[in-house]
Amino acid sequence: MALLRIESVTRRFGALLAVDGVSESVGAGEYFCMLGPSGCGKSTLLRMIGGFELPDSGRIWLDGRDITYLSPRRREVNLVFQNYALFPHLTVLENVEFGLKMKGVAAAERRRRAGEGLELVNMSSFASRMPPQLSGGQQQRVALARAIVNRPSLLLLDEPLAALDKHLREQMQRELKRLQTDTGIAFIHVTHDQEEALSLADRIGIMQGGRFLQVGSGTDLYEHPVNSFVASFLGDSNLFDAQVSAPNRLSLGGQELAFAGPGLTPGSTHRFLIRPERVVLAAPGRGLQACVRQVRYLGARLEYELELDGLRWLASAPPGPGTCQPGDLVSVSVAPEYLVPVSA
Amino acid sequence: MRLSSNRLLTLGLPMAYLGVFFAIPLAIVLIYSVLTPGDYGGIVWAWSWEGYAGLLSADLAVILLRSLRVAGLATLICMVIGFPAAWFISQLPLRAQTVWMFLLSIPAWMNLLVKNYAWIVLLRREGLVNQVLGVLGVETPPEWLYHEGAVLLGLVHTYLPFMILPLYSALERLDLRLLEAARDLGANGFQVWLRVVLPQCAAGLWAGFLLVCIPAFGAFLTPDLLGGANSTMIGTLIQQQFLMGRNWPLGSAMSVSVMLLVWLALVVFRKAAGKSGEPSLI
Repeated sequence: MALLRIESVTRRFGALLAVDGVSESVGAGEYFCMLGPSGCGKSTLLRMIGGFELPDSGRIWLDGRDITYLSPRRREVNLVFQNYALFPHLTVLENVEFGLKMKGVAAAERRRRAGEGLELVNMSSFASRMPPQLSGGQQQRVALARAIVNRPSLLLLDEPLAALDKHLREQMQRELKRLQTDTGIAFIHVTHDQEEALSLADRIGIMQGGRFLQVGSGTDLYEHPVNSFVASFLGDSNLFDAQVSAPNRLSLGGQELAFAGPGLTPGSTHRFLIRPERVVLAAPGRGLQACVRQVRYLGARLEYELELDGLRWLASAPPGPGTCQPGDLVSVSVAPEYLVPVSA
Repeated sequence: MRLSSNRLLTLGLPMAYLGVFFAIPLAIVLIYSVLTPGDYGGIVWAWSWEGYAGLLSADLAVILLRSLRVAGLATLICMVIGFPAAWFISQLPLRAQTVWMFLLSIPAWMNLLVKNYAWIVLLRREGLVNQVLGVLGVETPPEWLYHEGAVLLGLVHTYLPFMILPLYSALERLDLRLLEAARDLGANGFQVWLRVVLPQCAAGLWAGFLLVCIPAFGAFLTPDLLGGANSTMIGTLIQQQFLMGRNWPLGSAMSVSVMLLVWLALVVFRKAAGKSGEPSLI
């Protein structure tokens, strides 16, 4: 049974429909990411799960119990705030103890559990510091410890890494994943950073306009996006419209290309996706021809910008011998399984 | 260090002002307190401890205690009324906040004498309040004026804005997410207030305390006008030494001792309040 069940939840702010009839479930111990551009409703949905916003309609169930209108303090859910919201007048230890104190846990037990919490995030040596004396990453760890010591069944994280620089962000991503695995708490993590979602989540829900466009594993979403928004939101993509010449063939640049999956009506025009790393370049010869416009060196890979039948495609390949130069003519091939029809 | 003419001006003007209107008068009071009183007021230039000896014979202790009680009560009432008011204003839209703070500051422009006489007009035996009560059928209305209650009313009226202002500026800066975080961690409404809101505006509360308690402690006009003979406060007593008792050294000695007392009390209070690293007025 799902730990959290959301049932047709809707929330309006005046004329704006922030969350539009969302239904979704999150399992116990799952790492779920809500990914979307700012204003897509992901934070509002998170705040409704935490109890800081009430839905206009719909229900939220946690562990089989209806928590839709329950006060935040009565939910077995904790929220890690975007800018951490540590109490500046309390020490790190007192911050971590706060939730236990409110629940009436005895002082000795409280101290022990808070100590364990700090150890879990490697902040034991900072117990007596005040929050303003800590760096952003350190404050983030304290905020995590403060939430986790309450042993919630579900932890909500609102853009937890957005304020950190890239290097620290990657380090904290690994720590978040480790923490989630070690504690077995289900995480719902809101982010607008696709790499973060891909590297952390068991499942990702992509949101736009207050709805989930697609929910699935990172691989699902990346390889088989339902539409061009999902395709372009996750990673780089080449999207193009082409005519279907046979159920599993499309015509492009005077050539016929095969694609896998269920056939489409011949004669119709459809949108297709091909990821840059699936575009294979070879010396000019037979098949689809393209002209190299630009080459960018990115260390681990080279990125080519191609002009192909009036389209602009990206292709990427590991650097090495046989690197093309701008102006070179190349032939392009694509394996059928990587040519994916998507809806516009 | 050479001072540029700009710095001389910015530093020099306030220094000169404070020197003429604060330091010199203070020095005069200090010196007068150790001189001999003249027969018809004023002083005679002869050293004497008579002023300080006089402190023991005057009913100073009783009046000091009363002043402390009245000032303390007035401060407490200002806090109790001022905190919800400041919270209310701080949660309004910015434009409305400005309007409310403006309205709040209007009574502060009015002369203290006018405000106190207004209360007398309202509350005296044949005053407006009693006339209204008479119409409503109240035959024997209570005595509104000339006791400690009336003094408290006047003091709270005068000093309430000075409590609300610093509290408002503290509450207006309060990070509301901290309140959400506290609720998320299981705090109820009172716990949120006690453990998060109150500590966050400790500095504002302290400033309000200083701005209300000290002037209320030294007030002489309000107790004089609204209080009776039995509600004399220390300010009135000192004033009497100069204008009626004609004993300037005694009045000066009282002033000096009260100043020392207030300063000492603040230092002790501040120490007791402990670790807070907020900038302080003392």
